[in-house]
Amino acid sequence: MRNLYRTVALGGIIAAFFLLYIYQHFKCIDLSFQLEAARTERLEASALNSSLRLEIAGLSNPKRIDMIARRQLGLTETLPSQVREYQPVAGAEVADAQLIRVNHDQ
Amino acid sequence: MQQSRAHVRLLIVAGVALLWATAVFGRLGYLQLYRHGDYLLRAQRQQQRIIEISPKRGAIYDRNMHALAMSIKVDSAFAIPNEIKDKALAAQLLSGVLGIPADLVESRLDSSQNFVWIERKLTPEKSEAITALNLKGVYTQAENKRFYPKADLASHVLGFVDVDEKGLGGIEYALDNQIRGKSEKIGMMADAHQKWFDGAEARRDHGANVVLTLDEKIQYIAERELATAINKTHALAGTVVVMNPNNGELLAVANWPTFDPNAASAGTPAEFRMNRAVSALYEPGSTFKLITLAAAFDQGITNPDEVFDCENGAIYVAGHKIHDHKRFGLLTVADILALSSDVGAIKIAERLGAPKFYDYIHAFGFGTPTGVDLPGESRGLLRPLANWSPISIGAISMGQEVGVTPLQLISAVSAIANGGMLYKPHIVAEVRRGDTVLPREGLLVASEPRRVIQPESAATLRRLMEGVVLNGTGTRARLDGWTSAGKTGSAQKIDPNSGRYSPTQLIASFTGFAPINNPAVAILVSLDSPIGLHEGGMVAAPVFKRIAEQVLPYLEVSPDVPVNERLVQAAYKKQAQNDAENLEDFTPSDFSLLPEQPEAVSSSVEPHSTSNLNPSSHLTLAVTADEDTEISIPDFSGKTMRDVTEMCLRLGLDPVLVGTNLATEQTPAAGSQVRRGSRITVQFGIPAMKLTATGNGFKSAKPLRVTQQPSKVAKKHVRHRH
Repeated sequence: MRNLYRTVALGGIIAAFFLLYIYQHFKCIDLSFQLEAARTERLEASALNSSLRLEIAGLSNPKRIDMIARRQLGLTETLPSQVREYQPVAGAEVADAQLIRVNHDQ
Repeated sequence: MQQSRAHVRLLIVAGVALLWATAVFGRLGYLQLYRHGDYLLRAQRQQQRIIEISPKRGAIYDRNMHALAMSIKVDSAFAIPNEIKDKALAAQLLSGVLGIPADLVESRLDSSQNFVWIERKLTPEKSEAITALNLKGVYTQAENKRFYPKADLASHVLGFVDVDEKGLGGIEYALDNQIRGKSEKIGMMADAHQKWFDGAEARRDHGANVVLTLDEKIQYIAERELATAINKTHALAGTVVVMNPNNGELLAVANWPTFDPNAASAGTPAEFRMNRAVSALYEPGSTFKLITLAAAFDQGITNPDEVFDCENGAIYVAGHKIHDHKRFGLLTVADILALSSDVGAIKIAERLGAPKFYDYIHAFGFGTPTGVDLPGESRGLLRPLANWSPISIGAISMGQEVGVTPLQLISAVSAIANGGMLYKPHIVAEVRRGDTVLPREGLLVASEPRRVIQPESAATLRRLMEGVVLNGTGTRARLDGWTSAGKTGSAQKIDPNSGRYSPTQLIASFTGFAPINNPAVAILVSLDSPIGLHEGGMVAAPVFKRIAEQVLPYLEVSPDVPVNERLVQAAYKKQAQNDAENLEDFTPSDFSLLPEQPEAVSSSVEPHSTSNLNPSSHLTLAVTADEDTEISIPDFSGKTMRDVTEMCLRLGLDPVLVGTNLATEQTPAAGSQVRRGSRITVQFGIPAMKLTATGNGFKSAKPLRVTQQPSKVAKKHVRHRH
């Protein structure tokens, strides 16, 4: 009788290890699927990011901006005589910075 | 008895079980031991994919990190032919989605290979459509595709790639090894439903990013102005190069004809893909007189005030009579350059002597590649001194018998501009992978600048080049607000039919720099065979002016000569009356679209002018305007900023605009009398709507203009363009 129990116990342990192995195997496959899904998601996000960067680059094409400025907005180039340089008054930057700080505090 | 019968039954069952087990294990052993390789192969074919990931090319940026070329992932469709049962049906379906002939698709599906591409680099729509078909044996795979978001901007510099992302031109080709990452293979497993899992992580070994010295805005300005000039002159081709003369950085390299690298292939005509700035060889003509004079000044054999007899327009060199383009008499050296006298240049070169002249030509980099980091550079054409004929010194001194590239010429002119140092022109600022700047190798290796002429010689020549712009053949290159210097060139081309110089086919060019004392840019403009006006001073110099006047403010270079607004306007008005065609050259193309300017009266001749002008004389413009006129200030309320600006300019007032939207307040008030030139402050904001009650509720008494109507200027412009 003792031998029978011993055999059953041994069989149980072996079966448990076997079941554990099976569980781990399938868990591993399942995690692989999850990993692949996460990887795909990351790649998609990365691809979207790249696409958006490409779109930004295309939208900032100087030719496109020039066309919009001239044709849609009716802008023209400034003549040299229309460009004037202003020398900032000494201390003007400090005054501006103080004003900004006051406004910010408010 | 019964026990023995049961025993027999048990034995039978055990025997059957043993036989069954033996059969099973026997078969298992057979499969494992003898058919192992065969079934392993089948399983791998069914469950595993080894996918080669095409490398992701690094991006190419301009100097301000604006992307000029970048790669993003797109889908490509592939098939496993063995998995497709009805290939004809699959081909029909795919043909409908992809828009390619069914026969072609079917031929691809009939391949004996395990893997065939159906169509690569699909649009997102096509990729989604293929996925929606859900065909067994047809899959999509992400690949990188090269995009050039600025289309044809700097296309000759960037180059292009083939379908396998291999660089075929420009920087893409020159730095292909660095930009192109390493391709990698990854293993993927699939379950019974062909769901992929267990893909190995792709190694992050992308290509290196390249940062150029180009500035996309300067590049655009150069390309736009070149295209405008080509359109106007109907030239066969053209080149503009903008360089920082203080370090050899190329800020813009524009060529025409051009191409869109997004749609380029090996089938794109070579003349469209040719980067003329580095590859095109041409006789520089009169621009080469700069080298002649640089050598002469550096050797101290003459000075700007020495007078030469230009023989009334003709000289014999080794028995050959060479005619000048005009019958010049006595000219100073300064005038020889300003008026571009061939006879004068020949006499100076003869005094210099061929060996010394050759040494200087060679020192300025002619006849050898500049070493620019762009592919396909021509070394130029400079015959060894031993091969010079007796007439060579005469021909070369005026820019014939020598072949140069635009890049060689602008490098030499930059050396004159910066005080005599010849820098190696370069366009690659750095190559970086991640945050690491890669060491320079090959063409990217920087070289020390070398002195080709003394600073004093360069300074003398700069002063003479300024004379070209102020009084000589290059007056159309005179800038409003900055000093400039340069030299015109109108070199005859060899007629391939006759083998002689063509009287009608010329290379019109202008090369110069600005401002003179501290040059920020050197610009070369070259137009191949313009029709009609074809002298460099007439067609290329205005392009220099247009580009310089846009680039200098962009680079925040302060004007070094006062800009007289009325002087510009007077010049413009006088010019407009004289010659509408010349006006386009003299002024920005949109200048003529500005509203009416206040009247101003010019009391002397125009500064633009012409070769029969005495270069030694100084032109003055005395402009008078009636400053005392009283003006009644109009009511600006409700007007847009543009309207207010136009009205003020028309009346000769100086507007100060504060805020945005529509004009709400003004100082002085409407109706006040002020002098011309007075300052008017106009406050902008959202005006309060006046609401009046009606039977249906409230309605605005005066509708607010919330959408900007195209202004008169805009309308005129559109009409002009069409």
